[in-house]
Amino acid sequence: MNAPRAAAPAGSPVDDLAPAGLRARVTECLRECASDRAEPVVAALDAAGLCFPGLPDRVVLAESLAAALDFDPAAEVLARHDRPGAGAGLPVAALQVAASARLVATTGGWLGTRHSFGQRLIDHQVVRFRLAELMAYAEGARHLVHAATADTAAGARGDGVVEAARLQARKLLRRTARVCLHLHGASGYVAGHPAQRLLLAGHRPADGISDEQLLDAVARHLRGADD
Amino acid sequence: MTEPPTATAPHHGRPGPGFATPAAFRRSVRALVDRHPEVFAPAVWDVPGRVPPGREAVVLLGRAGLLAPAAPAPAPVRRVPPEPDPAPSWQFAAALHEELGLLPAGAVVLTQVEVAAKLLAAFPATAHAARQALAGRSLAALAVTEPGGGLDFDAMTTSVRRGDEGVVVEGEKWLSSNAPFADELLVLARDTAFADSALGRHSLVRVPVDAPGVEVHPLRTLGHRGVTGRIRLTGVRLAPEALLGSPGTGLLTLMRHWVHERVMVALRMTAMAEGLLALLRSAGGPRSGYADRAAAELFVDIAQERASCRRALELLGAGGCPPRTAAGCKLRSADVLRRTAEAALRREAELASTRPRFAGLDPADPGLAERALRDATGLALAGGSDEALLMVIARELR
Repeated sequence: MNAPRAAAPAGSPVDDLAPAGLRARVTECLRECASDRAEPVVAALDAAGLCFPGLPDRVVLAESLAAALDFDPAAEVLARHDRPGAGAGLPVAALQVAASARLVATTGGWLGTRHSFGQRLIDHQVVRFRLAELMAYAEGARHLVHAATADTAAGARGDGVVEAARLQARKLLRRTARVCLHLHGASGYVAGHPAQRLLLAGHRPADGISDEQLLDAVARHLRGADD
Repeated sequence: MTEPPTATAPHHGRPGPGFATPAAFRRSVRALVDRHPEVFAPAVWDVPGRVPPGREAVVLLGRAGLLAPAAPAPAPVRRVPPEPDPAPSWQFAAALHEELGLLPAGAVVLTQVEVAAKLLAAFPATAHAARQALAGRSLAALAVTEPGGGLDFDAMTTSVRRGDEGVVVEGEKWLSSNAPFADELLVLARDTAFADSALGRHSLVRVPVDAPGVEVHPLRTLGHRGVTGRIRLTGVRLAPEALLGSPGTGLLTLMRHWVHERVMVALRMTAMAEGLLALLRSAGGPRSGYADRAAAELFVDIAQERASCRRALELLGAGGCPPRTAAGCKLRSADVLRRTAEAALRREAELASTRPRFAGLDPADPGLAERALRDATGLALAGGSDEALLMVIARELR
């Protein structure tokens, strides 16, 4: 049911490879569904005839889900569209990066409503710099996930970049959750807060592979390149 | 010293000879560097008391037509839809700066192409000067930073005022890359004619280094030795045409320019980190036992910066790289280069303590790891310190 592949360059390398307008249609579907649980969202995507056969399509889905849902239900929806093959972990990596960026944005918004020492928390330079650093690293990780997706879709295999992207995404998620929880103070520590939920999610790899295993995979690629 | 052009085909109307692909261009750069060790070998740079051969490096590359392909093609005069460019200029720029990677000449070339020529090309009146810069016939240096301040432009003391027959420039600059071998300086100065302007109070001025009242001396620095300069401008009288672009808009011009410069500096830092990592892993032989996971950690961060720089270059080529993206690229690549250089130094010490005949990560360039760390420190300051970059990124926060 998806539209033909986009011919003209759009917002990112992944959007260029996914069907034209896919991101907008998924976003619209999620908005109309207006649910924060996985099951209704899965049903809504099915009802809209949206399918995600290509790796770039699933990366677009992951990023759209991150903007609309909490991490756990988004991961659940994404798992329904999981497909084995090269780059299989990249949609989860895209979800981790997008969820991190969303948490930074919501944290920034919240800090704009709180005051200390006569000014908004967001106006303290040390706070701004901590958030700015997270924003910079989120953007870098997104570029890496997109590049790995585009390379994999183009048939590139075995240079370690896919594993690198997966590793960066989960490190970013943990770092972002840790810093944002801290910036939220006590409220970030309270059960159910998005920051602490993300902190736990970051330490619970959805794909059952540890950081060290991913690092070893990268190291194997490096050794292979030497031979 | 003129090199025959190594071109194979004209390329999208850019000045100078064309190259069919970035790979062919890269090979030509490498061949020229290999033919001229007297200019490009690290051993002839960083010699105490001697100005490094930065001018010679630019002249060789420029005259061989190896700087021009990295510059964007001029805009078409007629309103016709441009043909798709199979190899846009950013791919050549990436090839040039990556190929010069760990060579000290790389910093000088980057300044000449991405700062001097790029700024001159921004104005119709100096388009010819930009072509001269890309042909290696003239060197220019940007002079912004002052001993009393960096990016706080309200604190800038260098001024330009209107004189009887032109303009007069007065002040002091330092940390100006390529100033010791430049023919002209592009000086940012407070413009007294715009002292009360809300829109812009600074102008860019072209100052020939042989004009009366101009003094340039190499500045002793931690890295990039002999490449940066201190400039004193004492009542320098110039023709009105010395003002670059519209008076009072100098800062606006530089704000746009820094987006480009930051991406290019990030590209160089990432290329340096990549080169260092390769040496770090190969030093001491294939079974030297460098920790695989340590190398993989660095590889992961370098891969991220490669992807990010490529994306930023694409955006620059399309005319729309956000300032935060450029700032982020530079912030992260400075960090990964610093960490890679530190790892390289530790690895050198480790191998030196266990192998009597160990001669450094690169035996042909024994000081490479330390120089990389010293230069990395300077590159992290070029185009704005980490804190200045964070301020740019933080503008997104409301």
